[in-house]
Amino acid sequence: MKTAIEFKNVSCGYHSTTVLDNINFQINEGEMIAVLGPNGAGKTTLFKALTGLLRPTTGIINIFSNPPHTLSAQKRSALIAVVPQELETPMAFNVEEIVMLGRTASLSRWATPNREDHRIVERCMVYTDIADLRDRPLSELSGGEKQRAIVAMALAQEPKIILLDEATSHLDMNHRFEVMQIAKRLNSEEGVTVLMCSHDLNLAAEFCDRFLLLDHGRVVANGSSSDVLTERILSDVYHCDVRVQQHVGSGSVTISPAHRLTPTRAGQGIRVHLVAGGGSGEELMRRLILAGYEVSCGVLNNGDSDTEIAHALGVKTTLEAPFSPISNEALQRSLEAASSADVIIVCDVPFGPGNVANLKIAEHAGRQKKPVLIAGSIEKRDYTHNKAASAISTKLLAAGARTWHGIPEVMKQLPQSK
Amino acid sequence: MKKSITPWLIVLSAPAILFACMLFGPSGYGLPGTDSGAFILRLNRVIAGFVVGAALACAGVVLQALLRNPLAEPYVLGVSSGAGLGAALAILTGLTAITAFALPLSAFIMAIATLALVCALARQGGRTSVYALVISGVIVSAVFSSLLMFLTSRAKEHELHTIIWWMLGNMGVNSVGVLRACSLIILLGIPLAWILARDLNALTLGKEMAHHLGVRTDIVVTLGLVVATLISAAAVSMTGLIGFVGLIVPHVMRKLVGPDHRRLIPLAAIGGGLFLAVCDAIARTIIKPEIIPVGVMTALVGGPFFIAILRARRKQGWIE
Amino acid sequence: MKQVISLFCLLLAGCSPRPVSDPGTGTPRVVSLAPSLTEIVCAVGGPEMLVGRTSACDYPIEILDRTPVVANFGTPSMEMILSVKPTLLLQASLADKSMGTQMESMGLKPHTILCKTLDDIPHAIREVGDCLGRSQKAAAIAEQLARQINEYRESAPPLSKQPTVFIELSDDPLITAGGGSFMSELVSVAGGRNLFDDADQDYFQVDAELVVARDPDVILYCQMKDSGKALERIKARAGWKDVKAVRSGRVYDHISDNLLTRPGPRIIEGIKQLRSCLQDTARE
Repeated sequence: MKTAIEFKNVSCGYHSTTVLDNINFQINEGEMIAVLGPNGAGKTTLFKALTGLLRPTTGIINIFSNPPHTLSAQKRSALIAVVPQELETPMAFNVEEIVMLGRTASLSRWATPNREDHRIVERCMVYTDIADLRDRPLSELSGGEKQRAIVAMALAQEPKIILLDEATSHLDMNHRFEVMQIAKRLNSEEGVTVLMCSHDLNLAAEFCDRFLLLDHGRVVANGSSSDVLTERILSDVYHCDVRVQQHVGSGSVTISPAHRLTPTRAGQGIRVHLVAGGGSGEELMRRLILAGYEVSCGVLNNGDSDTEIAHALGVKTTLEAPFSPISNEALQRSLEAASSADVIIVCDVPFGPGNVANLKIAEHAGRQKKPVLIAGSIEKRDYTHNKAASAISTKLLAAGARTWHGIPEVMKQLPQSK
Repeated sequence: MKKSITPWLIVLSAPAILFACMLFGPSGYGLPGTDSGAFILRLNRVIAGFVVGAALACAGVVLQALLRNPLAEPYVLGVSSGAGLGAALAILTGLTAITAFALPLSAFIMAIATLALVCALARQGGRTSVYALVISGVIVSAVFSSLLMFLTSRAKEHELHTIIWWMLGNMGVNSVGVLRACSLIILLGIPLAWILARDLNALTLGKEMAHHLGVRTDIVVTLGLVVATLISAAAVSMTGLIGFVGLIVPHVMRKLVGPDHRRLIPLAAIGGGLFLAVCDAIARTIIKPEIIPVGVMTALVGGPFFIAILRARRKQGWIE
Repeated sequence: MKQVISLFCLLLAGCSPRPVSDPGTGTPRVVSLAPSLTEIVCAVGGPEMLVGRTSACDYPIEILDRTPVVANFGTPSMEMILSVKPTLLLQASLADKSMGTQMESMGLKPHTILCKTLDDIPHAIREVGDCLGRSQKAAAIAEQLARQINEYRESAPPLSKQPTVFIELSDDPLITAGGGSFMSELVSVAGGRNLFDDADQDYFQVDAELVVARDPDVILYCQMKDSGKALERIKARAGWKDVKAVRSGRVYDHISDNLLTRPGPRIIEGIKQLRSCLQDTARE
């Protein structure tokens, strides 16, 4: 099986900003792949690099072993066709003329389209079921008809790869399926490699065999639906709680954002104390306040980014002077504040000799049999001399403390008011 | 193919209409004797009208497609103000006294220089967007127009008249050399534009989509701009500023024969040529012995014609 | 007592244009807003009376250095005019009305002197003379001018023998003068017939074809820039070489267009030069 698309250590961007950061992946001929990721993840840039609109700053892109910018325009258009989200032309081209535009690169400059061109256009119109619309101007068609006409135009290029660039975003449920079914047929019957990018994860899950998940210009996950479409990975990338359910009968996967299932004021009357610092508590503080929890935080150094957020949100905070180790006095005050808390959360903050004292708050709460939630593993961010933080953490976990990864997870572990 | 008869009608009627234009002149109706100077003069005038009209209409078609803007016309990138400035310079420096080529040549060179300036201003980071082009065109036009106004204010009385009358457009070409040179540029330029027809079709979908369809967009856009400017500069330098043809004829022809540039470019050229030749025939005979500036005629004749065509085929494309 | 008498004289003169003069020196300070009026002022009162002129005023030559420009092509600058402290402001009929009211509001009374036809010129000279207090000198100049014009008019050949004259004011586009224009009148007094005296417009664009078809005997080429080369240039134009004027070489471009277009005292020189050209043709 031939390699259709290959990205080797590709970085790419506009002017001075790098959007794609050292991307590596391979796509074989005949695959149907979805490129997923939140807004700004780099999907559009990846497509631009793939079609030769943008040259990578480092690394190599190969399309059937040719870098796109070395291909002649004509050859490139015979390899890759693009179906965009939307296509407008100010001229009153009719459907047949639009589909004929797919033949642009293969037409002679000197002659009108020949019999072969007409045959191909005819076939593409039949394939996408728009032959009846051939004399209608594109601008008069409905969204679904228009998009099918554009797919036909892309088909008329007779490409080996088709890129669906948000091609179904403007369509309703039924027309989405219509367009995707055409793509699937192309893929399975004609062996065309299909690469789609979409925000509609369910649609992608329904039609694609492989998924490439991008976030902040990097490939976060690459593989089958069970490798990529997991609650943990998706909730990390999309920063929201996600439910992934597999239909027992069909095996198809449904993905839905879950946070709307939890009541919004779930935290009313419940007190939470955070051990944070260096911005590790920012997002969690926001979420907790939004959910109605009563939040305290400490000890934080004055000037720390978490301090600013805490002030802005009205979180009760115990402060220490900037860049100073935590004093006994501050710790005492913080312990007092934490004593009324129902839950203690330790955020993803590194521990050193200066702030290891903060773990005493968790220890104290643990002794009182209050729930303690610790982010990730403290061993990996323990910078104290004798691994004091790790020791405390081990003790806490043995005493019943739990760990968490990602905000949706910790939110789920919190007690809720009735 | 229901549109197939209109193009042939236009092509076949062209010789008849041009011959009819030859029959109308201020010195009397009917063909002047071939041995008299009047015959040559009328022939040159009809040829100039046809060639200039063809150039303006063709340039309009190309620019409307490249800039994806229904208001684009041959002068949108500053050709008119550049040529006007060139003409004024030739008149004020007295170059016109040396050779009959001075004025057209100076206008032509300044028009091309203006396009170069507009493109240089619009280019950013190795790329040129059509919006930047249009805006630079507007800015350069404004600056050059004020320079032209300044020069006009410094002109002596007889120079002033020449500048103003030149701006109104004038189909009488004194020098056969100028007529030949400009016609040559135009008659080479129109086929060159026609070669780009399939790329222009794709470019109406936008530069990115055209790229995906296999068009070398940067080259085609540059080439298209240069050809359109070249032929409109040749037209302007020969007969001064004539409005309306380059804006309206492309729209009318698009309604009549469809938007495919393979058909549109040659037919717009023929249609624009016939339109201007007819307008000039009216302008030079209607209030003998005077001539109405042909730009007035193109607007008076073209306006109602345009509205009639738009009303008849309301539904398609631009200006719905 | 002397003052009383002069006051009395002033009162008497009240019904005709009053001489306006600088109370200090007694010399009027004149601003002229038309080249023809400038020439009349200098001929009647002398260049020293002129304190402001337009950029187009170029005769007599000495004013180029001594008299400041207060109006650039048709648009007088109020500030410049006030700065030369004029006692008299002369304008031709062309000046626009709003400018007149503005001048009046600034305390200047522009005096409009109509000068559109040949017969206007002697009247204009007399009027200027009255304003400058040089009525006698002006009357003498005017009388002589009127007599000379009349002599030319009477000595013109009969209409049937008059050569037809094409007045070419500009070649690209081709502009000529119609029947009502000053140039047309000038040609007729000089003994020719304007080829386009059937047109109402003063100046208009004309089709070369019509000029060639009407086949003028003489071409009067009024573009200073081409002095001496007109025949050659016209011959080079398509379709013009068989025109009578071109075949016989009767293309005249040596008469300065200031002599032909300016209704002032020098007009008689223009008529004289024109007559000698036209007589050449008439004799043939």
